[in-house]
Amino acid sequence: MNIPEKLVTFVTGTDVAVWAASSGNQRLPDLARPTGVAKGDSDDELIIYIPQKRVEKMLVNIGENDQLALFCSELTRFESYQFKGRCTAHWTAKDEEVESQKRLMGAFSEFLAQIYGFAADMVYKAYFSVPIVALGLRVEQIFEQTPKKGTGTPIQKG
Amino acid sequence: MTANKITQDMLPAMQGVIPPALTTSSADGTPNVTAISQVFYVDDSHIAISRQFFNKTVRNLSENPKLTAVITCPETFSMWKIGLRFIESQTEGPLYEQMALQLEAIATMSGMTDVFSLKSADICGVESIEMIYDGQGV
Repeated sequence: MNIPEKLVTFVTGTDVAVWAASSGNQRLPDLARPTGVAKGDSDDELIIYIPQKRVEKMLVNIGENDQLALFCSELTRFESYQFKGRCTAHWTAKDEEVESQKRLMGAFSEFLAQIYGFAADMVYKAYFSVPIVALGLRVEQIFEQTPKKGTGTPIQKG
Repeated sequence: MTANKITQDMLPAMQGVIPPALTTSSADGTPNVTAISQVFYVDDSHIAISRQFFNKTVRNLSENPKLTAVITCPETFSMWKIGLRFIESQTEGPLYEQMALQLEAIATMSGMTDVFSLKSADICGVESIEMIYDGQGV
């Protein structure tokens, strides 16, 4: 399913919080806080970047069940979406990918500091560490999840 | 390190300043993830989550009672991953009333007074707790 351009821009922005989830054979769901998201090579793919120290359980789950969910929420208006699909591959993020995530997290931390008064370096240290693992997500479904009555509507169904 | 009791140092992360994240899984293994307004301390082995919108979460919990939440302390950004098992929903009583009051305060802080409304207090047993960030850069 092709991801609408405006949602690619949204999910790769510096003002969104993102969370990724997986579920293994035991159906015990796991949750990790990515450093950020980038557009993949194809129009239906996103790349999720997660510090290696926080992704171990997720990698085990993906080995058993390749389904992934990605939640992203803008920090002031709470506009939110969930992307569901399958993991296509995972790899250790290359230097240029790490640099890009470093910039993204730096901007995110500054944004959070400006809006909510948290210390930017505290936010950065909490969410960013290397090495980073990249996960390819082929998106099959997208749901709007902005807090409001009736939220959860599919944007497009694959 | 994994534990299964909520400790005092986790309580600031349950005041609704930084929205917790919550994930469930359907019986066929499809994960669902969302942000929630509050994880509410009940006792050292139980918490309650505020059910407001999450239709898919409710459907998943009817198939599979396992869920995982991450809470974040707004003072240090310490984070804990909590493995939970859904027990029951309460739509009245002291716990529900306390959560409704706290939700009202959170809604006021976040400018969502017309949007947030508590449908139920969903009680969960704590199965595991893992500190995933200690607030010191580790």
